[in-house]
Amino acid sequence: MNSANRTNLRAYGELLARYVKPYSRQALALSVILLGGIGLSLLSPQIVRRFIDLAQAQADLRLLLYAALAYLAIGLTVRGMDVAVAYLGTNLGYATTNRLREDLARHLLGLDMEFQNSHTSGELIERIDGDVTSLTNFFSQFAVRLVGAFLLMAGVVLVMFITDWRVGLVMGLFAFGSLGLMVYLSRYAVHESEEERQANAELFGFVEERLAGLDEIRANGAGPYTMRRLYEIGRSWYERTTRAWKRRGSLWVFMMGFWGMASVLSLGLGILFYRQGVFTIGTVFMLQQYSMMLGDPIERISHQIQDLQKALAAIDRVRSLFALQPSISNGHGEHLPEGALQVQFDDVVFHYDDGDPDEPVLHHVSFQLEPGVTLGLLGRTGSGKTTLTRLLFRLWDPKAGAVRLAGQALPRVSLDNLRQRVGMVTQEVQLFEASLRDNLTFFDETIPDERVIAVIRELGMGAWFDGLEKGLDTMLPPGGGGLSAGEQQLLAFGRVFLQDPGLVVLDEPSSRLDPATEQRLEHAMDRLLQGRTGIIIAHRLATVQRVDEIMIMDQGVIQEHGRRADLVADRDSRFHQLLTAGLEEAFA
Amino acid sequence: MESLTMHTEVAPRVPWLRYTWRLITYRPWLFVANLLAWGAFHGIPVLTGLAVREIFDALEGASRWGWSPWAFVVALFVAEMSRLGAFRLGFGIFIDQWYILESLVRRNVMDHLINAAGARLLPDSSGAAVTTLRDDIHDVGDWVEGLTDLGGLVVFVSASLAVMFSINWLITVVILLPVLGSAVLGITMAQRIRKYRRANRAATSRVTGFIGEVFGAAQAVKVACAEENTIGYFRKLNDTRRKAAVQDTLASELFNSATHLLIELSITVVLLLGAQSMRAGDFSVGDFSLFVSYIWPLGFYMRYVGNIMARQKRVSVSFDRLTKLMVDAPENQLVAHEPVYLKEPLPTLPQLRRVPADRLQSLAVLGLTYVHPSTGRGIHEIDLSLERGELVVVTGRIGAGKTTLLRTLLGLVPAQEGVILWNGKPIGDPATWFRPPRAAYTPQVPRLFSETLRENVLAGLPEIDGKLELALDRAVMDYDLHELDRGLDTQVGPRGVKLSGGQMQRTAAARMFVREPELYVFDDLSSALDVETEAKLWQRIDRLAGATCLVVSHRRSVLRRADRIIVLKDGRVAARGRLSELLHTSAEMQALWHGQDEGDGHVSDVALSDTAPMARTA
Repeated sequence: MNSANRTNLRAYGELLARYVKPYSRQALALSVILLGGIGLSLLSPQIVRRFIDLAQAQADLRLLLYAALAYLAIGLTVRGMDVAVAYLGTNLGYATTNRLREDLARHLLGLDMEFQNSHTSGELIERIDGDVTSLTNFFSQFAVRLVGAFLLMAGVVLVMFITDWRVGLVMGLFAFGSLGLMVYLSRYAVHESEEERQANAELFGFVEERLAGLDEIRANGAGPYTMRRLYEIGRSWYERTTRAWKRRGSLWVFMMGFWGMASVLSLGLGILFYRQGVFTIGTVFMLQQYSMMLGDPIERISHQIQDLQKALAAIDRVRSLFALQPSISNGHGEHLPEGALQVQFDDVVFHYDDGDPDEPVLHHVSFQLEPGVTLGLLGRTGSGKTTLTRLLFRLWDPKAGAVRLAGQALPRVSLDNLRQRVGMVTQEVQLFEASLRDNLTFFDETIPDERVIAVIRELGMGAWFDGLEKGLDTMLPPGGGGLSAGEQQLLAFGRVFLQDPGLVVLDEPSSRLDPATEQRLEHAMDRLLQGRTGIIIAHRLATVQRVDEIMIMDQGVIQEHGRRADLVADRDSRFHQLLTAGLEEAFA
Repeated sequence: MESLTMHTEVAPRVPWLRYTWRLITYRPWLFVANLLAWGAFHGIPVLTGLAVREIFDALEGASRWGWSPWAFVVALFVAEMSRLGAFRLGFGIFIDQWYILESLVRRNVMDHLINAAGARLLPDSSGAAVTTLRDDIHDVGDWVEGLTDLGGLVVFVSASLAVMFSINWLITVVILLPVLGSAVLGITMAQRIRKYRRANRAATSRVTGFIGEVFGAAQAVKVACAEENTIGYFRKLNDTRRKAAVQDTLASELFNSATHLLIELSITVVLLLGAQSMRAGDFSVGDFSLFVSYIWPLGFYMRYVGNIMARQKRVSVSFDRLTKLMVDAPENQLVAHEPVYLKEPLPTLPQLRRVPADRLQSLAVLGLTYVHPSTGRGIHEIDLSLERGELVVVTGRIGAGKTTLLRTLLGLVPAQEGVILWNGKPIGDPATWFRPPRAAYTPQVPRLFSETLRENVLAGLPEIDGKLELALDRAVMDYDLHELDRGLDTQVGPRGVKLSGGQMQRTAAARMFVREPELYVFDDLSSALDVETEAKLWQRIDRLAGATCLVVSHRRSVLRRADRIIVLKDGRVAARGRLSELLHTSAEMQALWHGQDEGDGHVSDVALSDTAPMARTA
């Protein structure tokens, strides 16, 4: 075992201590039952031997009856224990790993946006659920099962030793030698099984994508091409999956061989010693039964060791995730005042970590916005307007300069309080497959239903809401299906209403809404901006009509900032040019 | 997913027997080889049981043959090794058969969905269709594979019962009861176990789905300061899953333990009844060992035989779901014997051939109607005509039926009424007609596939010098190509997420341009484009001599260009004509036009910026 694996084993120990400790009584009960079961199952063949020898010796029928009943009773107890182990093990496994899943999800959610943006959600599903699930067994029964299997093997060999040391020696060597070989062979199957999982993911990823794009494939005549790709991917899938199966198969072939040989070997030894008068016929039968019992732990140990390799790799990944730390600290605990917030940017310079520091996204940006004022923010993609709003939430911190709200530099304010007091509505609305209530309150259970419903009505969605049979308990389908783009936007407004912030950032929706739906949204927007400071990333000139101030960004620099009325009146202003000739000429 | 939770007690009426036969005969020799290998594997233990019995009897000096026990040890060894050989052989081919058949069924379903004539509406979401293509096809493969075991099991069960019966009929009859019990157990428990398994899977996919949603919306969660509440909800989902997992495990463990217990009960019976006979001397230790060695496989095989009825129901449900997915396919299409190209060279792609009849002079649509069966929404009696070189724009509010009109025309949904005339001649199946080189299409939210940009645009067309570049240039992708780190070889990611919304739309447009169709059909092409890019796009389309376009849009710049506008309202044509006329005559057109700005009357619509990238790229 190399040093990396040793480190991971230590990490396993630490995780085990942290997550299993709260359930130590369940874990203890599980261990006792598991080990007890092993002891009992060692008894059965002894009873059968006794039974055969008694029957051969024409013993009293009553004695035989007791022996038979004892056999049945042991069977019953062992089966009951199996069920108990299954129950306790699964429950413990999930109870503990669920806590690990939660801790991991919480930790990852707390990391910087840089992390969020460089990991797809599919990848994180694999990290949070896939990796942790492969630990389920390890948090509940791995150690006990491994130790148990060893004990069972050792127990069987010991009983054989006691019966006759030569039998014990031969069968012991055979069993432990086979175990070593099995463990050695089982390494190979791990890689192939990974490949198999990958091949399945690729095939069904392909199928899912093509079915989702069926219209385009058909209407653009890409059918034969798509089928050819299916054959290509299908062939690779076939090769990789069957290879994995065959690899696993060679392990099973080995096991089959073991059972067969164990039976032949034990009977051979039995004949030998029976002929010498050392064994009774019952003993020969018992030894054969015991030798059959050796296969099970060998299979189990090799299985657990395969699992261990996967689990150690998973532990390594989990650990490396926990090692990541956010660069955004929690702030000094100051609180922002109630009501509309003043906004101040003071010589702010910013570039993303993977960007070029010589070409910052924000280049010495300074401006001030008085409480209650609404600012319309204009500029092309890449001009820095979205980045500017992100700094307000401390999704990133500026590289130089300071952002202040109500005079407080943001790092002085507690992060929770900051994000509570600043609200945002983006173009892309993220809805969850959860109830309407949870979608609006963002899973905050302390918000009373009356408030939620009041907000829905305020948004002008009262009629829609009244049509819902289950009201707030209505489950929204995944991806916000069944709701129009406009309705989704209105729900996003609802979230911010419930949050009741002092500063609102709106990324104004534009493209896919038809003009009639837009009007409802604009109404909601007006309500939201009342009594709050507002920053609207504007896409439509109609929106710009109602703001107090205009700011135009270009390549990270404020190109123009002033009161809207002043800029409209000033014929030389960029805004004025945009309003009049510019657009119409360019596109007519 | 919902469709999965239906676990009918009554199997649907599908010709499962015929389907099974067609599957078996796809590679008949493979099936026969499997049958023989697994027959040997399951059958040989009858012989090993007999050998062990002879060993014990010979030890007691009661060998029927008068041979030394060593002879039978050798026989036992040979039998065990032959069984090992059969297993090795069977293992090499069972998975081949299974996965070849999976490949065949998958190929048949996909080919029908993609290439067959007629409209194709998936009965459920594409996600549910994938579940059918994965799980139901898996069940079909599993079913045929199970049949190869069945032969061997029948051999073992009948032979072992015959041997036991000849040794002691009374014990055999008595132990048959618990053994049959395990068959009954197999029949009754299988459904229930699957139910718990399904509930467990559903709970698991709620957990994984939620993780996906949360991290897909990480910014929104952070900005709303909802981390703790979100984790709280996550905890609830986790807990539901824990309970489902416990129930699932408990159910299958109870099933297993019950089978074990029934077998142990049988052995106890053999012990008790055998003891009587043993004392009387007509039941040997060898007989006892034979009974014990037969009872274990017997118990499990009987359970399996009981299970086969449940499997037959299950495969019927799977066949049923698969044929429903294929809707209008001919009866045996699901199991048609077609090449699956697992080893042979891949088929060559057909070339696009243009024939004179394809050249578009005029397109006319009369009385086109499609009403969605569940929502009742759709289009009614739409007339439309289009001459070569014209730009016809379809406009209207959301839900007016614009997209449905395009999709019905293209045959993507089935027209319930109406005629489509291409150069005055009615066309039979629009789905196969409106394809390159006659037509190409870009939907409102284009789907790209996780391949390179080049593969997405070409989608199987041969790369002819300059054509690809020309198409990208027309789609105004030229500038973006320099921006993307690997140009045309950039992997666009699942569903194209690595591109911005605008880039996705223009890539889809390039896919259409490179096919140089007679008719361009596009649905709101410019919805994710900024005004400048859109203007360039139209300038470049203008340069395509004689391009004929049918377009959905509510942008003013497009409406102005239109040779003809069709205004839809509630699925019907509210008005048609040129913009200048419509602005005077149609109230709906006026509403749409003026809804776009309430401010300075001379300002164009969407201004200044394109929309945010769809990908979460920093």
